[in-house]
Amino acid sequence: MPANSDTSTSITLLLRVQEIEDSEAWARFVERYAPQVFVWCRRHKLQESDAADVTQEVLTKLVRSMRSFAYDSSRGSFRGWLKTVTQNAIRDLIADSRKQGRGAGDSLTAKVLEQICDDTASAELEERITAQYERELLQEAEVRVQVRVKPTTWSAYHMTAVQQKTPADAARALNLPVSEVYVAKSRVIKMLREEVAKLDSSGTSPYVIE
Amino acid sequence: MKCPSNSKLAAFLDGTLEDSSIAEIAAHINGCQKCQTQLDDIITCDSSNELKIQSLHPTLALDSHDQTVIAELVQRLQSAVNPIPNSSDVNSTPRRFAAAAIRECGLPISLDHYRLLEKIGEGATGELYRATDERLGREVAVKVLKPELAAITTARARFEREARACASLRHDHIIAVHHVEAGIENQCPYLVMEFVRGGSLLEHFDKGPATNVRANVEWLRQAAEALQAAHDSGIVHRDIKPSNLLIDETSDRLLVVDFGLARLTDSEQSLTAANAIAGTPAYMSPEQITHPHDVTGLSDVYSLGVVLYETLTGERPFRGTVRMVLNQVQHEEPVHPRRLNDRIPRDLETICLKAMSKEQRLRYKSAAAFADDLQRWLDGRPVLARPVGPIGKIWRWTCRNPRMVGVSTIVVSVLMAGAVDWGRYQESSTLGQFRREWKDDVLLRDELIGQNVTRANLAEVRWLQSIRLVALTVAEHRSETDCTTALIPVEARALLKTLTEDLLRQQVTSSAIIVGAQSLGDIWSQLNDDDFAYRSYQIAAEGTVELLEQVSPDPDTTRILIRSHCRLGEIDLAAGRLESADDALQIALSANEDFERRSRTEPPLATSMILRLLGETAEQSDDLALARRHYTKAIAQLDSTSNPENSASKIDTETALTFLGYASLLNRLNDPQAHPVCVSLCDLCCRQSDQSLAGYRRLAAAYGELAKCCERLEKSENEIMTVLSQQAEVLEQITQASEADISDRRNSGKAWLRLASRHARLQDWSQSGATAQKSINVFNGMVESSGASPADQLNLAEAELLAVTIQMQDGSVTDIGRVENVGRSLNEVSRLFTVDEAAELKPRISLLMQQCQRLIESASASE
Repeated sequence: MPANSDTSTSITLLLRVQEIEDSEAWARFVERYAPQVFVWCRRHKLQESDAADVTQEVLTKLVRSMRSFAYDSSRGSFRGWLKTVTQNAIRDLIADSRKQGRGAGDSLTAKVLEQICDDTASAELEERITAQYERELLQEAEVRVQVRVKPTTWSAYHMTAVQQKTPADAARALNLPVSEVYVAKSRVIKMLREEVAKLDSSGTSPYVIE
Repeated sequence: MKCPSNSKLAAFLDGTLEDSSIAEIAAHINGCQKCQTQLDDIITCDSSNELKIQSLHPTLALDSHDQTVIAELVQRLQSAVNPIPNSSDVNSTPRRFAAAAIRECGLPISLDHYRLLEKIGEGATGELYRATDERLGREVAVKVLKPELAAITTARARFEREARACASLRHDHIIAVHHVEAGIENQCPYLVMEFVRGGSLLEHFDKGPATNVRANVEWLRQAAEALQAAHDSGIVHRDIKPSNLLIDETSDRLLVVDFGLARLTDSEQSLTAANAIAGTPAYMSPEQITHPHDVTGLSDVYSLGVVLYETLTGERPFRGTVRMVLNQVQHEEPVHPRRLNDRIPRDLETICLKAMSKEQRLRYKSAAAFADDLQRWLDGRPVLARPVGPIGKIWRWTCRNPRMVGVSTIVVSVLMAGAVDWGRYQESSTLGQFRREWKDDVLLRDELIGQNVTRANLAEVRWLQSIRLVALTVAEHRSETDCTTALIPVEARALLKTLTEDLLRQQVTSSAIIVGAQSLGDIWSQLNDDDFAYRSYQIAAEGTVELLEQVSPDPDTTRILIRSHCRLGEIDLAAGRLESADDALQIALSANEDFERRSRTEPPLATSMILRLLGETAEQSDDLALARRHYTKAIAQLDSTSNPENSASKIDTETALTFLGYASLLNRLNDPQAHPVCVSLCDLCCRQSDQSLAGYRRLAAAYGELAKCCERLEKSENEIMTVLSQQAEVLEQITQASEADISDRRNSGKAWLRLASRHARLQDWSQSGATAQKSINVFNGMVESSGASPADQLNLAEAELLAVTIQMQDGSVTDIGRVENVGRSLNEVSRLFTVDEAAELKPRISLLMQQCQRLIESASASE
């Protein structure tokens, strides 16, 4: 089963994080999601040390929520599942903040949590986590698409869509007519879109038995 | 050039433009700023909803300070080995487990006195190592629980429990477990087993399709035997698959491994649903998917069937994504192995498909039965599994097409062959025999398609197939139980009704229609529904007459003509429609005789049977002379019957029935011949090997006729009493059968009553009293179960009065209260009479009333 190999997708990463003591998955999860949560804390005016604690708490809650609510590909997309578990985690967090004095982590006071757990802030956290997941999906899709197109096609896409160069600049740099650049960009985006949908749709693609 | 439209531009991007215009448009775009902006818009619009490429790519704009803080934070979080400390499933977690240690330190490594040398496998629950037992100096295999499971207390406990369970199994074909180490505190549990040199069946598969089928079958037989041993100890394997079947290359025997451990995975919450099903769905039984925690040994039988399938064909029956496989396992039939490779022996295919039946009751009843059948194949003996073949397929077809439309005229000779089968089916005593002769209907259908037969004809074929299916279902249920309709599956009954309705709506006659009509008639007869049976036979009968007018008589149509008319006559006779019975039976008789003359072969029906039915009809019409002629002819025909399709017991039955009717007729005719006929009839009935309910009923009737004739001829009391008590005994035996009906009980009660009065007449009071009581018991039972008619109540009253009279003769005191009770119930009964009953029963009731009166009077006189 390719799911546990090193090239595992973000989906399998999130699934593996649920498994106790998969330290590698945990490490990668932290690496990717901690910055998002931390930035979120800072944007809501938490002090640096509080922000670090809250980040740990949020990530812990996320993993726990994932564990108690297993992903079932027959019941919908992974994206939908992630949204649900994130909401669960945030709800837990808010519930903790309301319980005075217990369950709110070592140095974390209820006051600090209360400070950030209003509706707008929760919505933003949810958005950041989903966005991070989508970013990973896209990265994975890019890896898969890049090998399927010509290098110039890829460059045309990358320059225009990612680096935000104008098609004319890209055309000059690649020594292509502008129309080709447009076609290349359009084509790669289409392939990416298909790939992302495939990765997200059911989570089954990595699990083909043969 | 003018700027192209937006849709043209979009098509350009998609590459769906015609080649001729591409170059022109491309050239235009290269020079037109406006079009380029337009293209930007199209692409942005196209992608903005799902793909936020620009917003996603530059990740976070962080200042250098925050970057440092985050890096530190990430490092700190990552170094927390167990990040989630107080989850409910995990208690104070052991930090280092064997498998984790191995991952970090590498091999070789020691675990107690076992030195782990090389990893040889990995399953869902554990990792397997080749190791040396340093104390005993022997090679062993050590299985270590996976670290992620070892963290869970319940998983450790279960691993240990299951390991002990399989250590308790001792069998030639189950891997021997030497030692189980418990997982206490921070220790990881592990299991030490015998080391087997040689690969699993999976590696054998990888080498290519099995060349030596016999060797493979022998291995699987060993596996089935092993599974039976495990099932006997209450252990279900749950994960039978090629990789769990090891082949010991030194002894060339198979060893089943990994007993009971599979369960560990699907009951632990910590593993995701995706992981749980990522096991080996291809070998899972349907019930394992729907009720994973509630599987029996039959599930292992299924899985082993799948392995056999793979052995034979080199392919798994169901493939695809997990979701697809799970779906197929539950809802789709596997492709028959011989379709994939026609060199596969047919019997092995049958064995394989039986083991893989989706319904548990259709599989082998046990792993042992599976092993036995494989052994039978290996020995070259006939196997017990039977191809279920078309039945399942027709069921499903029927579900999809509940109603057949438009049946048209066609003569399909193959279908007529089916009619012959039918006749045989009706006569064959065992379903199995019929199944063996069953033609592969699917092949037949394919053949018809090949012959370019129209869709309407196909519909007819399917209609017939459905009828056969219902017939088989009914026969199957009859063979085990009583033939009441309640016991037939609801679907079968519903389908039967639909099929009959289709039939009754038919305007056109075809061969298929008459074949189907006759079959439906047979089924309804078996279900004791004479009305539907009659209507079905009518269509068959009329249809054959119509067909035979159009075309020259062919044997098969004639057969149906004869059978359906005969059945119509039989039903008419039972219903008392004597004229109509006579008409139908006369047609059957002349056609039957005609058939015999023309074809010079055995006629479809025994002529004696038709003659016997004609005799009964004539007797009931009070034409005793005609009845006598029919019976005499019937008896003459009995001797000439040698139809090989008629089994000995059938001929016996027919003989008995004929003589029974004849004896009754002779009794009515006051013929002195009656006595010898009755005596030999009783003899015959006694001798008949078939001691079925019907056989007993005939015997009782025979004694009845003999008694009648003895009484008429004023034979000795002794002789009469012997016959009557024999009859009563037989009748009592009949009432004890579960299928006995109300008239059996009535006959039994009456017989005891008759015997009691006879004893009374001979003044044998003790015998008489005991016998009267038996009669009272029978009738009382009928009254209590509300099955008694007014006539039965009169019989009860008579028996009661007889009992009182006997008591009186015996010298005891007359039970006046009892007599009064009888009088009261007689009064009640007389109010319930219908007009017909009143005419018949009035004289008798007044006699009984008088008797009551006399008893009361004589009792008061004696006081």
